[in-house]
Amino acid sequence: MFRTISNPWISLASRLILAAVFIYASIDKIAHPDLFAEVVHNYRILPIATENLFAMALPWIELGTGVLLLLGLLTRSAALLSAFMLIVFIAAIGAGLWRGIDITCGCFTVSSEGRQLGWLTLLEDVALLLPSFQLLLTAHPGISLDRRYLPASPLSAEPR
Amino acid sequence: MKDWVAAHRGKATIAGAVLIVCVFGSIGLLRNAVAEHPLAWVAKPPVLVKYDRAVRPSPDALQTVTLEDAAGMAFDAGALFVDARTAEEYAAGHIQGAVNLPTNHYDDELPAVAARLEGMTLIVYCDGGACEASLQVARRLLKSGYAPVVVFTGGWPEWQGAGYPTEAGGTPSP
Repeated sequence: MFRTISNPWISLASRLILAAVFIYASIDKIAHPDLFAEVVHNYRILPIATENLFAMALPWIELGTGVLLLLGLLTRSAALLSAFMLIVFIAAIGAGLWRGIDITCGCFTVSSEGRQLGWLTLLEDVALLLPSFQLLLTAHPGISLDRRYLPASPLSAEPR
Repeated sequence: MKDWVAAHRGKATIAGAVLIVCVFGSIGLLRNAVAEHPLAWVAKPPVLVKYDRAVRPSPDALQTVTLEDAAGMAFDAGALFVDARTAEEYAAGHIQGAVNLPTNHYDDELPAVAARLEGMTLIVYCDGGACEASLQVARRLLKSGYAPVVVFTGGWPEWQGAGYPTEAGGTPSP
């Protein structure tokens, strides 16, 4: 089992899937920070004073995580961060559904044409945890900068 | 360093993740600092005050009106309702004569209705209760230079509940 999910091609696929999702998710938020701040506010989870700081920083952290996964640099750290963000998103969406608030997800677009919060958005984030954990738990990062520049570093996903 | 990293694989991974957060989070904050319309570093809750024609509002306060005020103003030719809900909700039913300006399509939709907003007292509403689309649209209208702009906090449910005139369909009546 462990051998199977340690396949370098699976690791490469995991990285590319997560990279595509995180980079794509960051673009619209970076372009419209004011609208994303409203989305954050509508979730009513953070203290109001911290909402804007969160709205400024999160899209760039998503972008950075996505780019590092794409390049395969600091793969394990980026994978850990992606799992952490997904768990935070799952908690936020779950809390929204639990309280029955009617808001847009703000996941990939900040437009009001964007999807309403729903069980599907929650399931998507849960599904994305699989490639995150695959990268965290397994050894071989596939074709990556870690293999080229940090082959012996535990920050890469190289076997010991 | 190398030995420490090798001995503390888990900690090193976490340290790397913290580093990514710090570096890219800082880029986000720096981006805001040089943005043309930066966000406030510390977000503030909206300040709501009761609308009074005679009092000039402070720049960061929004003025609100009750159902009675809104109904009274509706018969005034100088007032116009602005529906901040989505196009679908607007089409399903809205206050008679209201124009639709959904909060997240403000920039796209404003040119189409700009001529009708000019020189009017704008009464912005949404779904009542905790909905904030009206506050967001009112703030943007003020920023665009329209005044006076007031928020009818009771919104569509109160208006409909009171049996005041409504209409349905995608285009506003003239």
